[in-house]
Amino acid sequence: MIYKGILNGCSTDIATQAGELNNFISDNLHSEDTVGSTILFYSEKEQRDALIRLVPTESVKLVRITRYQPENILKALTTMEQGEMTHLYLFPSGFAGSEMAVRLAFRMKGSSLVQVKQIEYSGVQLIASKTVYANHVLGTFKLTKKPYCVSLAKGSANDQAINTRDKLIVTEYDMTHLHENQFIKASKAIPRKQASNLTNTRFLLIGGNGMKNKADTQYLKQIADTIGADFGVSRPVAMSGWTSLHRQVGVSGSMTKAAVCIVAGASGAAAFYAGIEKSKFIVAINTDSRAPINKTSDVAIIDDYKAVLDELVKVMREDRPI
Amino acid sequence: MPLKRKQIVEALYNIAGKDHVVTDEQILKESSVDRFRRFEAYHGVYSLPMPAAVVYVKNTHDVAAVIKFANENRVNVVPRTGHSATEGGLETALENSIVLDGSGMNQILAIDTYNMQATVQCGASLQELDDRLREQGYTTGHSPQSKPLAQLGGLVATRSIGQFSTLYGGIEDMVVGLEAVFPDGGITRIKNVPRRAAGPDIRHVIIGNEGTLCFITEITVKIYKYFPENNQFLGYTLDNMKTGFEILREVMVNGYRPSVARLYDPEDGAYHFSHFAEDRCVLIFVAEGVKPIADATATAIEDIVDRHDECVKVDPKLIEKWFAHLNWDPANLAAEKVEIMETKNVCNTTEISANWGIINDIYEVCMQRVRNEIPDLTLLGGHSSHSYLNGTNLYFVYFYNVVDCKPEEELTKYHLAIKKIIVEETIKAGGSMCHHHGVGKHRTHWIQKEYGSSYYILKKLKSAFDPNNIMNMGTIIPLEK
Amino acid sequence: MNILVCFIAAPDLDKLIEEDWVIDKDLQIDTSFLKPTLNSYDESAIEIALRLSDASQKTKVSINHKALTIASTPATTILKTLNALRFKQVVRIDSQDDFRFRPGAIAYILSQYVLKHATQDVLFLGRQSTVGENAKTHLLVAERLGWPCITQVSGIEVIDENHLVVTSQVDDGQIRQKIQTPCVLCIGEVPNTFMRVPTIKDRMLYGKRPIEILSTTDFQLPDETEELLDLKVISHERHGIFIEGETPEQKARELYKMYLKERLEKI
Repeated sequence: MIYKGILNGCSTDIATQAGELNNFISDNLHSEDTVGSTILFYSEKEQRDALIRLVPTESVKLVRITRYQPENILKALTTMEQGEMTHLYLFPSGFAGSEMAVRLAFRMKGSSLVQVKQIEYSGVQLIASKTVYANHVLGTFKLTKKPYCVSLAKGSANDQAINTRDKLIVTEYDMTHLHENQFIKASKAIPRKQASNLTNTRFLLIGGNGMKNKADTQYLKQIADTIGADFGVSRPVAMSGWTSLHRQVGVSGSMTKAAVCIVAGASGAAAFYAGIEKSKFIVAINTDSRAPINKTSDVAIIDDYKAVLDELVKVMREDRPI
Repeated sequence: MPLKRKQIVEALYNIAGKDHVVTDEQILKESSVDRFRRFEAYHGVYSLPMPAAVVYVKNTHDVAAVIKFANENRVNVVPRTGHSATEGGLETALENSIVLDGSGMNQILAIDTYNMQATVQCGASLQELDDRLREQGYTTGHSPQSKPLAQLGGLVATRSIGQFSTLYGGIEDMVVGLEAVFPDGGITRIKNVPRRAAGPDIRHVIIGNEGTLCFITEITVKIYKYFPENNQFLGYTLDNMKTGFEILREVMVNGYRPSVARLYDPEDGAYHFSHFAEDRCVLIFVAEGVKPIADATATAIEDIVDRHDECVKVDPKLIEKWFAHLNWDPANLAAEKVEIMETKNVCNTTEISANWGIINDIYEVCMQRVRNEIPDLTLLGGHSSHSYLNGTNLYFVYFYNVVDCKPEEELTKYHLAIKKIIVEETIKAGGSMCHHHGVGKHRTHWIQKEYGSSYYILKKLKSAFDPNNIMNMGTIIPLEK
Repeated sequence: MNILVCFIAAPDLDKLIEEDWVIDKDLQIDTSFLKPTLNSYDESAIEIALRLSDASQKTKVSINHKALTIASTPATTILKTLNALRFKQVVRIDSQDDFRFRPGAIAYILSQYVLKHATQDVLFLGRQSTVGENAKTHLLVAERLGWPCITQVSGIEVIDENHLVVTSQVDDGQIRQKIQTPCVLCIGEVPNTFMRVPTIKDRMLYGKRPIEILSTTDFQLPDETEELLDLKVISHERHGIFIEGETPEQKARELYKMYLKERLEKI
C-alpha cells in the first residue's frame, strides 16, 4: 500500500502534527509492503531545514506556498497527485487536517473519515475506527473507494522521537504562484498569544461546572500556578467566556495526557472525559457523589473543591518549597 | 440594645468552636438567600440584610446552646440543612441573623427493618438514606425532585412531598417521631409509636414549622418494602385537562393507590414530552408494591382510562425512562445557571391545592389571567402531581424572559406578580395557596386569608413557643413593620 | 442576504445513564425516550443568524433567514420555536432513513435543495452532530455546490449585500477574513451564543405558520463511500476510590500523601 502524510508547515503546531503522524504510522502501517512519503507545505524559507527534520517518512515533497489557504492547498494537492497511485492520505487531527481529508476525497472520488483512531487495510478496503455518540461509542467503518483520506484522532501523538534520517529524499515544488481564492477579499491572521500548552502538560488542574463565576476561574488558575500545574476548563466554563478558549479540555478542546490530572467541580460528561482519558492518574474533586467522573477517576474526593485545594497547597508548601 | 455583629460572632465561637463558625463574606451573601432569589444571586446582587455568621453545628447540644444564646439576646436564627428551599424560607430577613446549619449532623442513626422505621440526624441526605434502604430492599417512599440535594431536617420543616406521594403520602405521613430544640434551649423528643390517642398530635407543631418554632435535630421515618421489579408504568395523551382531572378523581375515589398520578397540560407537557405528545395533555401513572397489588392497580387504572375515548396510550418505556432522568443534581443546577445568565430566561413555579369540584376552574382562570396580565412569558403551564381522595394539587410552571429590568427587579416584575394571581384566585375559590413548597417569606402576605379564623391557632403557636421572636422571622407569619 | 441555517435535532446524549447504552443487532441505540434538542453548534448557528437579522437595521442589509432540517421524527416543537423566533421560513425534509452515518447523503440533499431554490447566499451548518460525529456535511455541501467553505467560524459581520467579515479558529490562532458570498460557513465554538427563547405571544403569532415539508424520496441519493460495520460501547471506568475523611483538609492531606507526592516528584 502506498500512503502519504500531509503536513501543514505554515502552522505553529507542526511538531504536534508530525508527532501524530509518526505515531499513527508506527502503530498502523508497519507491514512490509507499505510505502510512505510526506507532503509538507510551508511558506517561510528559513524554516525549511527545521521542518524537514520533523518528517516521519523516508521521502518528502516540500511544497512552498504563500499562505495555507484550504482552497489553494486542495488545488495544489489535486494537481500534484493526479495520476499517482496513492491508496491512503493521512492528515493530522487539527481543523485543517479534517477539512482537507474530506474535501480531497471528494475531489479525487475517494472516501474519507475524520478523527480516526485506528486503521486496517485488507487490500480491497480500509477498515477504520473512530469514536461516535459523543465519545460513548467506538464505531468501525468500511471505506470502499480509493483513495482513502483520513484525519487522525486528536491527541494521538505521543512523545516518541522522530528518527532523523540521513538519507531523506527531498523533492521541492514551488507553488507560490497560486493566488488567493477570489472569494477572499482581505484577511488577517490573529496568532494565538501563547501556544496551547495543554496537550503536552504533565500536571493539569481542570475546573468544571462547579465554578460559579469568573472569580472562581481566576482562583483556580492561581491555585494551578502555585502548585505548578497547567490550568484547563470544561466546555461550559469556556462557553461562559470566563477564560480564553484554548484552555478548553475535551473533544472540542485539548486532548491531554498528563501524568496527574486533577478535575475540580466537573461532572464528567463523556465529551469532556475524552480530553483527559489518556491521563496516567485522575483525581476528581466535587460535591456530587453520583457524578459520573468519580467512577472514571482513579481517586475521588467528595467535598468542596476550594477547601480541598487550599489545603493541598498548604501541604505541598510544607513538603517542599513551591 | 441589640448585640453587635462582633459580639454575636464571639459568642458563637465560644459555643461551637471557631472552626464551625463561618464569616466569609461570599458565604454570608450566599447564606442570605435561597433558590427564590437565584437570578439576583447569579448576578452577584445580594439585597437582603447580611447574617452575622453561619454556624455549622455538630450535635443537639450545640444547637440548644446557640438557640438559647439567640433567645436571650434576641438574635434572629435561620435554621437550614440542604439549602434547596425555593420560597425564600432561608432568606435572612433581619440584620445580623445567625444561620444555623445542621448539614454536618448527617448520620443515619438506625435502620430498623423489623419495626420498619429509620432514625437519622437532621443533616442526613435523603438520597443517601434511600440508597442505603434500597440496597436492603426498603425505601423511604419519599422522592422529591430535590432528593439529591435535600436533607431530612429541611424536608420535615417544609412539609415536603415526593413523586410517589399518592401511595406513600407526604412527609407528614412518614414521620413517626422527632427530636427538636425550642427557643428556650429545651430539647424535646417525641417517641416512636404506631399511633396514639393521647391528646393532639404534637408532631404537627414541628412538621412544617419552617424553622419558625424550633430546630429539628433528629427524625424517625417509616420505611417500606421496595419492589421496583413490579413497577408498572402507564402513559396517555389526551385533549383536555378537565378529562384528566376526572380520571384522576375516578382513580382516587375508587380507592386505587398508584404511587404516581400526574396530569400535564400541553405547555408543561411539551417541555418534558415533546417527543411523544405534541399539543396534548399527558397523563402518567405508576403502580407499585407487591405484585398482586401493582398488577391490580395498573389493570384497574387502564380500565378507567379506557372509558375516555380521547386518551391515547403511549409506550410505557417512555414514562419509565422519563422518571429515571427527572431529579435535580448539581450538574443540572450548574447548567441551568449558565443558561439563565445567557438567555435571561428564568423558570419559576407556584403550587396550590384544591378539592375536585374547583380544581379545573382554578386552573383555567389562573392560566388566562397570567397569560393576559404578565409580559414576556415564554412558557406557562401546569400539572397535577399529587392526588388525594378529595382533591389534587396544581403546580404552575412559568418561564419568562427578563426584559428591561435590573436583576433585583425581576421577582417583583414577574415571579411575584404571577404568584399573586395564582394565590389570590386559589384562596378566592376555596383552595390552599401552598401545596408543598411551604409558605416561605413571599406568601406571608396572604397567610391570614389562607387560614381565616384558624389563624388564631397559628399566631398562638408562634407566641407560645417563640415569645422573643427569634425563629426565622418573616417566614409563614409576616414581619410586623 | 439570504441565509440558510441547516440543523439537526438529536437527543441530548449526556442525559443517558449507564444502563441506556445498549447497542442492538441493527447497530441502533435506543434514545426514543429522550426529547430531541439542538446541539450547541446548531444553537450558536441559529442565534448568530438571528443576531444578524437584529442588526440589519443598522447594517441596512436585509437578512432573509431560513432554517432547514432533515429528520425522521417530526421535532415539531423545535421547528415551531424557530417559526416563533421569526425565521422567514422553516423547512423539514422528511425521511425514514437512518442518516446517522451518512453525511454524504445529507450533503447531497442539502446541495440539491440549494440548487433548486437557487436563492441562498450563505449556508450555516453546525460543526458536527453529537450522534454521528461525522464532521463532514458542511465540507461535502461546499464541494457539491462548488462554493468556498470556512470552518470553525466564531464570528460573522455583514458588510453589504455580498460581503461578510468572518472570524474563524485555525490550528494556531484565529483568522479574520473579508469574503464574498456565496459560501458555506461551519459554526464552531462560539461563546455566549445560547439560543434565545421566544415568548408565548410570538409563538401564538408566528409559531403556527406552516412548515414546508419535503420528502427525501424527492432526491435520488448517491451511494455511500463509507459504511458502518460495528458499534461498541466504550467503558472509561477506573478505580474510583473515594478518599474518606472527617474534613476536606484531612482528605486533601490523604490525597497528597497516598497518591500525589510520589507521582508529582517524578514530573
